[in-house]
Amino acid sequence: MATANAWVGQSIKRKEDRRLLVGDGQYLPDIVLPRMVVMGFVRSMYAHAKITSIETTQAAALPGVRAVLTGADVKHLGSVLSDMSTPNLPGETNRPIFWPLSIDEVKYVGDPLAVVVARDKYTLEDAIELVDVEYEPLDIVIDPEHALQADAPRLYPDWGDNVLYHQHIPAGDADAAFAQADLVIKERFRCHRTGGQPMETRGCLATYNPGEGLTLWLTTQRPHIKRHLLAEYLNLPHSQVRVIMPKDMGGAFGTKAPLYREELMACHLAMKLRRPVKWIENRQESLMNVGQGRDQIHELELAVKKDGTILGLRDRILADCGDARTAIYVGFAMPFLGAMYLINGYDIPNVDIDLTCVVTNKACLTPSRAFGSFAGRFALDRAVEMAARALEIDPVEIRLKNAIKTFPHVSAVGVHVDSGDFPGSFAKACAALDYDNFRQEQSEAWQNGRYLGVGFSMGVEISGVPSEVLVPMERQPGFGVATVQFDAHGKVQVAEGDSPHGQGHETTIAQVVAGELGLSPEDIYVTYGDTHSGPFAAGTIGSRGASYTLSAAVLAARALRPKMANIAAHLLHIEAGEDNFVFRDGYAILTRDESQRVPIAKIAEVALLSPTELPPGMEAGLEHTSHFEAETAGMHSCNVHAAQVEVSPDTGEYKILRYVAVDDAGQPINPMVVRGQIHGGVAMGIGNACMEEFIYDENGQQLTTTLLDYHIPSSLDLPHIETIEHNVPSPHTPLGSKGKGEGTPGMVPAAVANAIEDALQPLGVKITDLPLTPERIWKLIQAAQSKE
Amino acid sequence: MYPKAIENYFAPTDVAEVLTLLNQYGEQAKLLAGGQSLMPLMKLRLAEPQTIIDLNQVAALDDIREEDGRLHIGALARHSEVATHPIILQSYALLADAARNIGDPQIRNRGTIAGSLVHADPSADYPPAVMALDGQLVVAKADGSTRTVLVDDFLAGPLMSDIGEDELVTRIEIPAPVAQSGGAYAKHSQVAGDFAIISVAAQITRDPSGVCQQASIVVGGVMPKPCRAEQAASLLQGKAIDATLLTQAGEAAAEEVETEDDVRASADYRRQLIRVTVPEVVRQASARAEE
Ligand SMILES: Cc1cc2nc3c(=O)[nH]c(=O)nc-3n(C[C@H](O)[C@H](O)[C@H](O)COP(=O)(O)OP(=O)(O)OC[C@H]3O[C@@H](n4cnc5c(N)ncnc54)[C@H](O)[C@@H]3O)c2cc1C
Repeated sequence: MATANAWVGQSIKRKEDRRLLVGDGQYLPDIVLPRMVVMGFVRSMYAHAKITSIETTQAAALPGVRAVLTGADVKHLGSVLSDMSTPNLPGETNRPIFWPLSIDEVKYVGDPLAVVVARDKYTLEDAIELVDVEYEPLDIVIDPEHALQADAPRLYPDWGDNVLYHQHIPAGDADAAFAQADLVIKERFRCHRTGGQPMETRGCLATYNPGEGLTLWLTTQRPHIKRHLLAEYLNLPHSQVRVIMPKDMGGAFGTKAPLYREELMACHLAMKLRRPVKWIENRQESLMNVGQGRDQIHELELAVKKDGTILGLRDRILADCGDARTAIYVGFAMPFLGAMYLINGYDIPNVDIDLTCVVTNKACLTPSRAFGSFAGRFALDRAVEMAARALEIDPVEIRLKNAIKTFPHVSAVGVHVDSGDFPGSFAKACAALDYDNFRQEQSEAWQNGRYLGVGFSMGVEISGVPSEVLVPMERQPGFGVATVQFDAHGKVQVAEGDSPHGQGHETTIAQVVAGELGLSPEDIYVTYGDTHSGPFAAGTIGSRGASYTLSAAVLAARALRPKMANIAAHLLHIEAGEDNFVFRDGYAILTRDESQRVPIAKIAEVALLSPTELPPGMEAGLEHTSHFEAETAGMHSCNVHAAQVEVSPDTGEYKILRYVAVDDAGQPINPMVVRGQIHGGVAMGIGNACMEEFIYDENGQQLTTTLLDYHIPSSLDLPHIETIEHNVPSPHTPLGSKGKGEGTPGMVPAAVANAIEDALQPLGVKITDLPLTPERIWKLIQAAQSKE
Repeated sequence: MYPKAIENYFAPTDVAEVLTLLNQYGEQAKLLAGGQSLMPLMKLRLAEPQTIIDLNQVAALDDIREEDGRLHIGALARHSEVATHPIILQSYALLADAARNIGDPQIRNRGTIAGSLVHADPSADYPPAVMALDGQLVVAKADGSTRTVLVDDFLAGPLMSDIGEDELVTRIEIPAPVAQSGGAYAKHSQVAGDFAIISVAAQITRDPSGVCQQASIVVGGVMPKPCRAEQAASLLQGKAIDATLLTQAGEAAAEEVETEDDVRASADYRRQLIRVTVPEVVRQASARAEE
């Protein structure tokens, strides 16, 4: 029955916000168990060294210390990575062998080599200071190009080299494309190390008893996946492992998707000590260990015809994956997906992409919003801009010429894009910026010594990842799942398998289920995060909320309607099937005679409290679980962003005067929630592209381990972000909705860089490297002027 | 990120009591004012005091008033008070500029002027501002004596200042500017509320014809402490301030102030920021002098 969903498209206030705003949120640190102890790590001070001795007696003797363990004590647990926790990708993979604590050798500054358990955090830190480690420094490799050299120090001597993963992705005939080109753009682009830094750091609380097994409260994006990996690693039956994401979590942005060594350590210690063991990462540890993403070099070539048609692309990508010691992603799943998404919203038929992922003496790359594609999207959208400039074609025109035009579209490398409308999105971006008149304004500004510029970026963002991609990449399913379950009072519980932490599921899922069932969002409560009470799913990753999970909730709600209609008909003593009823305003209403109606609460009551009133033979209860898998190998949202900047040529400082984001949410469920996702994504993109950088010195010491040095923007550093909807409903979801937010930061670096370069055209500046710090821009200006 | 245990915590209510405690606990004690520098150091275990003497209950240590031709700012005056105080906005605008530029509202509500000067971060906002105003610190000792020290001498180097274990800064004093004076302060930082890459403070006195009679220019964000741009200031002296002169002053300051590389910026870029910022700040100071 295709009734319109009354709550779809309404910007109701988020159900989550009240508790968060008044301080009633329930975060991991709020969970306290009797006899709980706290855990902390002794971490390497060297980027690469042999551990010659670890002296723990003093620490162990400190009153209040419950345990001190070193690598040798956990060797029997075995190596962390199994087949199940390593990406299963085509290409050549080397797998590092490692333990929750490093044994004999440390490979980056921050590498955990011993663990301390104490009664409180003060004692814990006293004890950590008392563990005396002696090192014998080894040669280090910090630069990814150095890592490739034959004489480079090796991180894993059992490998032939430092190459973690290599894949060649050819499609079409790149050589022929380049032979026909009128213009070849060849450039080396460098994207620095940056990523996500959630307000709440990582943490967990593990408790164990032999009867029920292990319970782990964990700041995670994917409790179910962690559960089965933990069961495997700890050699426990699956029935004895329960993972719970606390009700609230202060952000993740990808960083809480991998399985980490620290989590395994907490579980092991809870089992060994028979005490609840809590770990809360401090900010320095967080900056040393997680959120380090991007970090790629692209040697990119574009074959272009005079009219701007892009015939082909070659790219040699080198990704610096750090030490590669986290499970599930192992540092290279991100660059892999980034390579697959390199051509993105462009229709480029001939490509030759070569991806090499190396290990270095830095922290392992972890996922960050926009996953592996931040660097590649910067590189390609910059190269397209350079082509436009060389051919004197307008940057919008060259993009429209090469953007995907017909949908569904399968990219040269096999990415399926279901729906979108680039011309429509560009039209809205240009109208918002008054682009037609901008060039005039710009040349007048130049005459007055002011440097104004506009830059565009375009591309597709993942709207969930289908099983077809997720199973091979991460050995997990892509379906969305939800159980919609009436309670005896006519309220509805929706249990989902993901673990939202800022995405607004409690609101948007309530809206769609309310709409499908003729109820109000207040009647719906969404639960998540506990592997023992919610259905199995991959977790909150890759913008799968509004695409997959929410669609499962819609299907499950719809599946209840025949039974609801049958009960209603029975209570009205009439013969009528599902199609004879509409569900509206809390009632099942007979369409042919609207005075004939039954409160939905009554139907639920009959189904659960007084089943004696059910139609004869009908099973009690009113609930359904649906697994939603889209009938396509990929759903995407197609977007155009534009920035307008003014640059000061004296200092390289620039101001983003306008930031216009034209985004495609398919069918927004709650437009305000969508806007929030875009605001956050753009803010993160600006931080990553312009201000933030994890810096390592030549000794591999990280210089950015406090927020005084790793510069996350605040509202004062951000422009007003103008969001404009340009929605093309997905043909593959029941409501046409698309996921939104994960890929958004990837739109930013090219838009801002293109705008800065555009503004500085009279000075002839060429931007190839991130981050876009004022000093970098100033140096480019200096270099361009000294050439003149 | 958890400090080492402290053994004693005192919250005295008057200056005499503070001084007695300082005398008693001396080197193992730390005074706690706003805590915005001390607490981070303790959490990083870069400071491990055994005794904390909390100044926040001490009466009358935070008043701001003009007396005998001088501005008195109590040691405990918070950045937010300095940023908004009517007398300061009226006659010592550059100090308000500096205070407004510090950190974020929470930090400005807690942090104090004496704490900032004692902490002596070369990239902090107050040191160059107080130097440009020829400020001095009044320091009290347990024996009842006090001494007065010029801020230039008080700031000894990076995180080093001229304060004894048994001493308390009670106030900052700034000579009231003569008529037709004005000042300004600006900083360049990587994100809002961050420490300066470069900051510039300037105080200018003009005569009615617009000729600069007196100028002082101080550059912050350089090692080992903020630096007076003497050449630049003397260029201005006795001349009418115009665009050419401003450019020359910027060049002179960039020439005379030594800069260094660090994570935030290179020495060259700092020099360029000095070159560009000195003229801007002097222009604003001069405009304020005219008002
Ligand atoms: C996130 C963050 C951002 C910041 N950003 C900036 C910025 O942009 N610009 C800037 O200038 N500063 C910045 N600060 C530092 C801030 O201004 C501090 O408030 C200031 O440096 C210290 O003042 P306090 O009162 O907090 O001193 P405290 O931290 O309490 O004390 C600092 C030191 O001074 C001593 N002390 C304090 N009062 C006295 C006294 N009366 N006599 C003798 N000794 C005393 C203490 O014993 C201690 O050694 C920032 C701080 C933080 C945490």
